[in-house]
Amino acid sequence: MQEMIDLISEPLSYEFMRRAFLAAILAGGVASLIGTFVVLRGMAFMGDALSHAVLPGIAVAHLTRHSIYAGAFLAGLITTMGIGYLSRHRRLSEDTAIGIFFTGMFALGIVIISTMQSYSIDLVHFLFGNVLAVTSDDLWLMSGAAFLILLAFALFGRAWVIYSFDPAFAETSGLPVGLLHYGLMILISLAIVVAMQTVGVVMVLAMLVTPPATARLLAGRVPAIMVLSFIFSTLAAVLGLYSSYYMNIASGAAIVLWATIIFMPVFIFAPKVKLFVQQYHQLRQRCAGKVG
Amino acid sequence: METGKTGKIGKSGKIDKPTKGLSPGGTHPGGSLPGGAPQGGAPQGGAPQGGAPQGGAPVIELLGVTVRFGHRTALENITLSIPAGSQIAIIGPNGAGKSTLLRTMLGLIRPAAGVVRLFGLPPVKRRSAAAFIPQRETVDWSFPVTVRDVVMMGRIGHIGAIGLWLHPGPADREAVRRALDRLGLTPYAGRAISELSGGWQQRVFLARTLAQEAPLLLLDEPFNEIDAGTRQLLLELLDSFVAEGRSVLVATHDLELARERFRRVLLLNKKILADGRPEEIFQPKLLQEAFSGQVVTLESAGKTAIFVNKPPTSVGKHVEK
Repeated sequence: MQEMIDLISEPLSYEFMRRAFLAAILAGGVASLIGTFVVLRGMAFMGDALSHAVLPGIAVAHLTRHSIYAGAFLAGLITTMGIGYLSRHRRLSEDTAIGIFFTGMFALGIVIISTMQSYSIDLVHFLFGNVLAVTSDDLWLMSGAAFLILLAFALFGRAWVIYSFDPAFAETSGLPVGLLHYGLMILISLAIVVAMQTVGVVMVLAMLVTPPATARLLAGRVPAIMVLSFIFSTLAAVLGLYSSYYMNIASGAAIVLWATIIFMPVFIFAPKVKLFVQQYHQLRQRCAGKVG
Repeated sequence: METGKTGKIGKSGKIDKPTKGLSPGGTHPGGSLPGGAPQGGAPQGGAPQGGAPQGGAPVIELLGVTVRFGHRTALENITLSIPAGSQIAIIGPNGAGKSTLLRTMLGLIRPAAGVVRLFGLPPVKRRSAAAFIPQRETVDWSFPVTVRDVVMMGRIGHIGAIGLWLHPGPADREAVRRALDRLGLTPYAGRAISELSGGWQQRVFLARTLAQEAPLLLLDEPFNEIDAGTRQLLLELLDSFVAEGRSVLVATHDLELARERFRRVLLLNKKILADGRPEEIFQPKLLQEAFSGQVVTLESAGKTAIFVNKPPTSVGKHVEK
């Protein structure tokens, strides 16, 4: 028993590990909440694009010694607007516009990084993240972003659900659909910027997509999906960091891998779980009917 | 009613300034409004407050409206006035612009020329006074919402959609309960909409429209893919809407239905080819012209049979009597 407790508490005795846990849970939580809309609206490709397109922003910020978060966020905004602008052209579909813009941005990022002296080290750092190097300043920034995102959800959550489900209805009901669309994009950029530090730009998409997709298999309403999604992402973050510590493997990849490992049994067993829940509800309704 | 609460946040509103009724001031080639529409007299008085139709002021007015998609003209010089209490079917061949017309009325599509007025104001300002049921294909039916959730969406004009701690009040719950009940959806209120069949999904949308309590209802091909029971229920609902003084516009390719169940029919093929009572519209010559040979009419024993032949690219459907 004591051994078990030691196994769990040992990594936590290191300052950098404590910070890593906090960062991974924060970043994963933020990404999994926003990711719910990415999954529901089928925007995984857009999410992937945004996550890659932040690279030049990071590179430039790194070179000019500005905050890499600000740089990444700015690049995300430019990409969002750029894709929106390109896809308004009649002969370019949205996914084509995304494909053109994000690869262009990503290439630009790599070109800029290749001019640096420590080319390969920095590139690896950006591409795959390094949650073990999170500073307490980073943590404050992440918390701020998380707060912003939660506030946005509290304010716009209902409108986003309506807009995602039936855009024509949302617009005729007087919802500001343009604001909702770009607001969501901005939040996705923000979530990517926050999560980038833990898993890197290449795998940020996993944090956006995998936990909500797992949750979607089990839950039938948006709030429930968000809660489950948060639970799954936290689980992946914790398991990933422990595996990383004890097996000496890359932390970001371990987190993503755990998210995938959680997804698979849910995918296989979800229909049975759903059936069980349905029968439970029917039973409860029948009982309620008798009482009423 | 507070239907206008969220209406003012429209992103465009560019068409022009809010004026009371239409005042064609020389800039529009269409001249003054036609008096052809039944009881559609000149607009006067203030814009209706709260969306309730007042007096003879038109619910929708279009003046010289032209819509273009790129180089293609979808609607050409549409001038139209729809008074409160109308029950109108919009018919026309595929690609005639039926959906476009509805969407233009709602301000979802901005015309290249002309003026649109919803309750005397630019549509972006009065949208929430109109309930809209889009074609089924535009909605994500696998979306994780329950039947009750969707019907409750109809209340956002009353509850608001943006803000902290928005909760439906007793009036909202009651409206939703009545709407669910009216459409026989009460037993399925907690079900996910993805579990319902097409007809029942359409019922959910109808319930949402009921809960919306809007004075104007626009439906885009509502009779597609629905069962006979839902169809009957929908027709009864539309009748009761009109009886309450609300207005109903339906885009449909079901000519039989348009003739039998509507008081006014618009025959559309980019332009308005005819506008009047069904018996005025369902003339072999007019239909032939509108459907350019896709329609065959047969007359015998005082009844006219209409056959529609669609081009081989689309699903053939014929209507007969």
